[in-house]
Amino acid sequence: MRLTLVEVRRLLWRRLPTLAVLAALLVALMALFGVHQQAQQIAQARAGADRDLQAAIEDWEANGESYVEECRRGQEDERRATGDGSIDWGCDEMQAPSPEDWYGQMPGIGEQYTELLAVVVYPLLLLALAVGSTGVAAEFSHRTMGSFLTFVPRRVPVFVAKLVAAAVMSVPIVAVCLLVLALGIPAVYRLTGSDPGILADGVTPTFWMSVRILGLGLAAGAFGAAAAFVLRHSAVVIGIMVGYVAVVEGILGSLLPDLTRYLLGRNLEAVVRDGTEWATYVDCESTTGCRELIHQLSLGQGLVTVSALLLLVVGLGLLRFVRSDID
Amino acid sequence: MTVPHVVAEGPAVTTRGLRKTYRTVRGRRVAVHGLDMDVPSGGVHGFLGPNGSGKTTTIRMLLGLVRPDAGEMQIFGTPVPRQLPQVVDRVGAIVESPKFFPSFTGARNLALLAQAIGTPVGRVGEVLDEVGLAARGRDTFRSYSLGMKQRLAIAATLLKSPDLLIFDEPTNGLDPAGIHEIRQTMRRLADAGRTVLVSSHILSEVEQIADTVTIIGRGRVLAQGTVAGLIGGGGETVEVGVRHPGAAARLLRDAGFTVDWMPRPQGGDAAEALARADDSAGPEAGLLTVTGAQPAEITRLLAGQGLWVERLVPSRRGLEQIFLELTGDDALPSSLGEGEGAA
Repeated sequence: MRLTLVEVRRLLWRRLPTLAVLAALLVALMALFGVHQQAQQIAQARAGADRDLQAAIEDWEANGESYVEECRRGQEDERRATGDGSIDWGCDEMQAPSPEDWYGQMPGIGEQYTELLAVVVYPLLLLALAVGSTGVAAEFSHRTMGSFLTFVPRRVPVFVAKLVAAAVMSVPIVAVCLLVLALGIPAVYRLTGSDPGILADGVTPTFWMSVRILGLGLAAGAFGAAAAFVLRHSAVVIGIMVGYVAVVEGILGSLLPDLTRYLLGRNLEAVVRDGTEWATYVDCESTTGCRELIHQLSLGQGLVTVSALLLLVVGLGLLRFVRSDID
Repeated sequence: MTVPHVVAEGPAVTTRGLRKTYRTVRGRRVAVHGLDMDVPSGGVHGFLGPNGSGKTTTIRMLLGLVRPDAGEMQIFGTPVPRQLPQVVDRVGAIVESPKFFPSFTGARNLALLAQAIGTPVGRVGEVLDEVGLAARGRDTFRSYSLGMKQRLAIAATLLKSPDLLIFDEPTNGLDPAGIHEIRQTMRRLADAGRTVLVSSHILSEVEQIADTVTIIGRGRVLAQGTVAGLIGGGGETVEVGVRHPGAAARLLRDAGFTVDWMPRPQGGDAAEALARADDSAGPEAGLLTVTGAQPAEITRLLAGQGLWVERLVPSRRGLEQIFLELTGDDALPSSLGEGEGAA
């Protein structure tokens, strides 16, 4: 515990965690700016289109029934011509034009929050990873690790303390972003006069999504620190991560769709969104066109994959630190 | 604040058969080759050897930073690195150059170390004061001069009030004033009852402060013992310039003195070279060095045989000369006096 506090203090005294928190703040503010722009565009569209909408509503009131009737006649003609009685043009669902049909509408606050979180989580994790890896790598590059070990020679507690401290340092990075979004989105809605909507399932899913992102932040910090114990240089750690995203997630993922379920990106998405699904297309050579295959990845599977990767890197880091000579 | 220390009897450090091999792209390189070393408790012990002789590797092994391939080590009778945590509080060390976080202040760097070992942070101010850095404690480490960095490293070692201080090349890169300062600090620490193990290849400074020394070369102990024993064992040396060096050398050797030739022949024996020497060669062909004789005795002996001395310079063999002799040939000459030893 004492060593962990020392490590947390050391990381707090470094400049990078502060810069990372500022960067997380910037990410959150940029996301809010995007929300604000979206709301303004909709408000502008509404201002110009209100008269047209009114005219469309009046037209529907005057001629709606004949439109429905015309639709049904066309549907009947099509059924007779093809001999397929199941053809459904959706005539019975025809309704008067609504604002959301006409110029779109802002999603509810809860939906907005979760959609934004699903996007900003990746830069947040990268920041947490960078703070964790540089915190440890700096000790190797400045060669202070050896000096420290002459004071505290037990390497396993030192390793654990540095990992825990790196994980803890991710909390302010993630928390500042979550907080700014949680407070900022309602403020933007109020500012732009947007409809806040309702939280269909209450606040619970949003809350748990935030908790999962906080957990992933902790894991990213520890992962960064452990990777630095393995590779000794933060530039190498971050370089490998960027290379992985570009080559494995980007190129291999698109060339080998079956591999997707094992990739980090998809598993992270499953953890963030409480499970995820995606489509692939097969049998595209047939005359009826491609067949859509829906794949699903549960939260549990995502957690297992992410945890396994974390444990692997932590194990390698511990092994290298305990067994190797220190400069 | 200097607290007198009472250190237990017995050696502060012992190593037996210590061995370390590094794997390099060119194959294996033996850094430490069966090192047997004893560092007595109390006083300053010089750990001498040329660059690359294995001094730093030995120190790193003692501190648990480098894993030995074979051998045993003890610090105050405690086997290390196995039980290093039990004795680490009694050991303060600076390995090579002082290493701290450059963007942190000196005080902050020490505070982290103090907190890590459970020492009250108030002790930081005391040790900074002890090494004369109290006024610069709030400056960043990167703004320190090399001498100040060394003093900060010494302050760090004092956070533990250690019985054994290990300094690896502590005066590297320091100006004369800095060297003097560090030398005084080491002497003061030893006088306070602590054991100071200082590795260096600057012999003159070690000679001034060390009570005992170990000289190593190519990872092996070449000699160890008291400084007085090593220097005194060689006796006084006199440089003699004479017109017939071969005849003069035979005459002096017959009289029981140790005679050498300067410069010493490379890869050969000085006595054989002298025997082959052309007696008509002048003193410019080389000087004789005669050990164990007074200048007057040499003059009288040579003049009695009609060999006229053209140059006569008495000199005392220093640690540097012994070191060069030992590490130059990587062998222990038989002329060393008490306290000598070899691995």
